[in-house]
Amino acid sequence: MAKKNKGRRKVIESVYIISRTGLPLLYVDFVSQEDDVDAVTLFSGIISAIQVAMAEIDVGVPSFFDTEKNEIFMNVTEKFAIAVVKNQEPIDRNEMNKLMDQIQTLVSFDQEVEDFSTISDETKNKISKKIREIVNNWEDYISEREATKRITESLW
Amino acid sequence: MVVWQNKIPISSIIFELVVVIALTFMVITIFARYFAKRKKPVLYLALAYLFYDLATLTSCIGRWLGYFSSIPYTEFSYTDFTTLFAYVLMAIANVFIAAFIDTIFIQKGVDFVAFFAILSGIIIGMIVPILNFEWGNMRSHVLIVSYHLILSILIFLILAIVSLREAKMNKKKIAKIGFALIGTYAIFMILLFVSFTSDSLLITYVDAFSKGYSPAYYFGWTLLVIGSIIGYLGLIMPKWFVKMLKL
Repeated sequence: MAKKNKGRRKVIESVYIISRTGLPLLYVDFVSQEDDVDAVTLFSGIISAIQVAMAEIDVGVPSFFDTEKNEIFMNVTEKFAIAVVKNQEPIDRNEMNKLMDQIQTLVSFDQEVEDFSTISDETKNKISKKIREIVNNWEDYISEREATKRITESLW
Repeated sequence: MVVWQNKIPISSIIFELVVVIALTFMVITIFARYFAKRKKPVLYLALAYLFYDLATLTSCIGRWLGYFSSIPYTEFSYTDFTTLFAYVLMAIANVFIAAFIDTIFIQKGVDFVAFFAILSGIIIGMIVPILNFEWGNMRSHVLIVSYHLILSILIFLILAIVSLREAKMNKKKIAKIGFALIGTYAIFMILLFVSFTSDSLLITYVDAFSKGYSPAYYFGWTLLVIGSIIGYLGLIMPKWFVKMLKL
């Protein structure tokens, strides 16, 4: 999933909003800026299947798992699940939770989202835009804290 | 000792000597920090200060030679020669400041530093032929000074913005103050370059200052001394200062 990005490397690569049945409801990509419908559908299905399987065998719904290339964070609500795919750059877990909560709050309290099956493209675009804003602001925030870390390690 | 000699005031030599001593102290401190931590950003900062220090030293030596020289300034001006050479050294220092900004804040890599290296290279390219071929016939070069001003303002404006933004967003008291001091230091540096350019313009275009050394010259060096102290506190954060902040 990691592709070369111009300028500072993005920590967050993509955000998925997935229905409880495993269908992709919304997908925002921060790396390629392009939609690969097949890959998105497959990814949503796999995430959903993992959640269901883990719940079935009574070990609890996972909120995090990682692969060789990426780390995947998940929040599950009654109506939908959020999956955030990030690169392997170490980030404080609390900061990741803050981002997940912001996205969940945005989607949960959007007045136009009552039923995802009837959601219009216009609303989808509006939510995608807001998710982009949240993630970009979070990236800036994280990057600033990284500056503090770097100057503390090297100078102070 | 006479106040003015060969068109050079003794005050300028004393002023610049004080700045050389202050900058040398900073260079030694930053290099000591580098040898203790061995981190790239400190090395870039140390090299930047080394080149600023060498630039000031070059300028100071030029005034010293001019003041005590038996050759009249109309025949050969040491100060004009060394001032231009100091601009070459400052242009190199600016590239290291850009590298420091990149490694701490921006993280764009080679592109960001290369951009400023090329722009600074243009300054060096403009000055070196003058030093080579106009020996003994140098005047104030407003174009070079103005170009150097724009480039330096751009670099230090970036440092001021990223530092002050970091200070604003930070919740830790020490880091907040540290970044605020670095931002303030960058603003002092911008004012310093504005003062030196104003001095250059005043002595070129205003008859009252045709002898040289307008108030902007002294104002500029004063800004550098105050800015260096602020920069020292923000960049180095000496232990006694951190202890004082924690009280």
